Formats: sequence, C-alpha cells, structure tokens
Amino acid sequence: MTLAELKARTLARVAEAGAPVAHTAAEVTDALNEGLRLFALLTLCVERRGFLPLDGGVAWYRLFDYFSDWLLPLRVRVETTVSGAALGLWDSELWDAATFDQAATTLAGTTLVRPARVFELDARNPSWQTDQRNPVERYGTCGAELLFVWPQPAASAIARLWITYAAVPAELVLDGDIPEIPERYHSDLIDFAVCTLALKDGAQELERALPQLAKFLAAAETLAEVVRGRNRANRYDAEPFELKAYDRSRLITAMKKPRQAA
Amino acid sequence: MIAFGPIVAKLLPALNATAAGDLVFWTEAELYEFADELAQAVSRFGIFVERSEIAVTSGSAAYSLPVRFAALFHLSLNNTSLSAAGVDELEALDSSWPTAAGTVSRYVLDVVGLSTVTLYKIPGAPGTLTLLVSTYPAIANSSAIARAASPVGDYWKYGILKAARSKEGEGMMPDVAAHCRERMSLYEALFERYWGRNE
Repeated sequence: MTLAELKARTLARVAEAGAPVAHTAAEVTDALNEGLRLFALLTLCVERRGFLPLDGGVAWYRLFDYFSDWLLPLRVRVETTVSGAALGLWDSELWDAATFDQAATTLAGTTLVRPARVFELDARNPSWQTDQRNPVERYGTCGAELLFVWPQPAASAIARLWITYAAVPAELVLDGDIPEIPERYHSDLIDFAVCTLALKDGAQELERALPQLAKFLAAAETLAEVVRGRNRANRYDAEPFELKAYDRSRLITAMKKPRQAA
Repeated sequence: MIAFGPIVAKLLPALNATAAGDLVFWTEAELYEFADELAQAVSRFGIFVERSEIAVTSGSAAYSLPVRFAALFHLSLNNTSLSAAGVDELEALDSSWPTAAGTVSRYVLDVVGLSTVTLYKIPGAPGTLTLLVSTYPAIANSSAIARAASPVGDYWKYGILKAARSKEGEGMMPDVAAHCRERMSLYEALFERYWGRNE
C-alpha cells in the first residue's frame, strides 16, 4: 500500500474520511511512520548492507557517520583487498558501490568477523586497542553507535568491513511511498495509527482503539518469529525482541483505575 | 539521529495544539523540561555510550568524570586497559596506596564522592585517559539532538506526553498518561534487549 492509501484508510477508520477535522493528514502520517519504526524495532525485518572503510591505526568508529539508518549489526565481514574504482552493472560509476561493485573483490574474498565484548579483549590483552595487523578478527558495539574492531588494520593496508545490519525503515513522506516492511503487514500500520490518534481524545476513544494495538503487536510477534528463525539459520549476531515473553496485558487493556503515573 | 524540535512539534496535536503558541495548559519550555528529565531515565540503558578523553598530568591521580555521566564501562590509559578496584581492595593490596607512584594499573571510583576517578598508582608521566561512559543528552530547546536510532525518539515522545498529561490541572488525563507509561515500558524492554542496562 502507498502512503496515500494508508492515510485514506486510517482516516476512514476514525470517521474522518473526506475533510478531516479532528486529525490532520500530517498527524496520520506521523502515526503511520511511528508504527513503521516500532514494527521494524520489534521485528528487525528491515536489513541493509553497506561497507565501512577502516582507517589504519583506528579501532573505534561512530556508525551514524556512515549509516544514518543504523540499528543493530547482523553480520560483519572484512575485506582486505580493495581494487580499483567501484563500477556499476554496465561499467558506469555509481555513487553507491555496496551492491554493484564489480571491480572490487567479491564477497567470496571476505572473512567473517565475530562479535566480542570489550572485557573479553581486555582479558586477552590489555593493550588490544593498539594491536595492528590484518585481518580484523573481532568486532563489537558499545551503545547505539560505537563500533570497535580488533586488531586494527595496519597503517599501510586498505581494508573495509561489509556490514549487514538491521535498519530503521525509510520515513514515509510522499503519497507514493511504500513502507519497507512486507506488504501483508501494511494494514497493521493502520491499526497502530488508529490507536495512536486516539491518544488525543483518551477515555472511551482510547479504550475502543486498544484492541487494534493488540492486533498490531500480534502481527509484529508473528513476523519476529519468522525473522528470528531466519537470523538463526543465517547465524546472524542479533535476533529480534521476544515479544511473546513480554507481558503486554497492561498495554492493551484500558486502565479502569490508572495507577499513579510515575 | 534524534532531533527534539520535530519530536515536540509532532507531539503538539496530542496536546490539542497546532503550534507551540496554542498550548493552553503547558508551555513549550515545559515540554523540553520534561524531555530533559526523561534523558536521565534513558541513561539507565546503554544507548548513549561515548568515548571521552581526559589529559593525565604527571603526579596527579584524581580526575573529574564527564558532565552528565551515568556509568563508567571501561577506562584505559594510553590505550592500555585498567582494572576496576575498590578502596578496600587497594587497602589490602598496598597500605600506602594513596601516595604510591609508578605504573598505573587500576582505577577507583569510590575514593571521593561520585564524580571522581582516581588512578592507582599515581602516574609519573603525562598521558591520555580514555573513558567509555554511559551518558545522556542535554535537552534545552528545539535545537537539541541525540545520537541514537530514531525509534528511541518515540520513547521520548511518550515520556513527554505522559508527563504533560500527568500534570495537575485541566489538561490532566490519567488514562492517557497510564497508557503512555505502558508504551514506554515496551520501549524500555526493547532498549534493554538490544543495548543493555547500566544498572
């Protein structure tokens, strides 16, 4: 479904079809985008691949400087030979060499880099942050964007990481934009948006909309199970959140006597 | 990347306003105050981890931790990792530990107050102390940003909405505030799963 269709159906569900009064098109778009982000966070269903150029003698990198949609690493491979300019399918240079890079060494020439934690490397060698040699053997992340590699590539070497990562989906802006999640889950974004729009009114409007939030979460749980199985088969380094084990009863039930807000 | 100006702007319809000037029961500054208070709650999770450096001077063992510091994960001097220790451990190790000078091998956080790190032994040469700290962003106005994935910004949206709807007055909506609290709990579970917890 396109954004235009999603908006129209959402407004119809809140009895605002035609000339919206209580909820503007911008509010609906924001609610749909929020549902899209939460769906991706719950399921890790949006994957991208890109490369991170490694600098000689540098162990730490800030990933948002390279991937603006970065969420979590799934698989990291190191490529230690980079040859020539990146060319497209028909030998024309492309600005994005990640997918159509014929001139560089193919993925067959890369080595899997396994995750590690800082403390594991400390136990191995307290001076691991100064080790320099090829190839990179371990990587790790700290926080939302810091990534470290060990050992660092030697100053004279050229190396880069091929990273498959879970990404934040592109925001829906134009009426023709299509959500990046599988199409059979597009209607679940409408359910999320309807419940989110009901926050403006609260009370009975919110209570009536809560079952739709439950439907959205159930859909996310279904896809997360599929993605988890796939990630395990692929031996990815991250898996989706276990929504099945999360007690969402308070989230999808109207609070008759709200507990004191913290 | 999270930009707090758009987060607050997109929140206004839920507060029955089309622009910041239309807010009746709150002010825009209040909304940013709510966001800033929530930043300290977000610091419980290992989302905002920064590497910061402190210049080490010869003969000086105590250094102040960064502002808006929540937790210290790792510390290294001249790229050599140091081990954490407590005062009681140093007392058992070396009775003259406060004045011992030599190769720095440990760091202590409980010598004086909560915002000072002390090195053991006292360094005899200048260097660079590199800290991996969990921190939290300062949110003062619409130009504030935070380096985290955009879904983290949605947590802030619900936190601000919860605080606004919890405020005593005619704008109070306890049911909405309670629901926002539950949505925040879901996000917190996600943050803990993906990025860990500092506590």
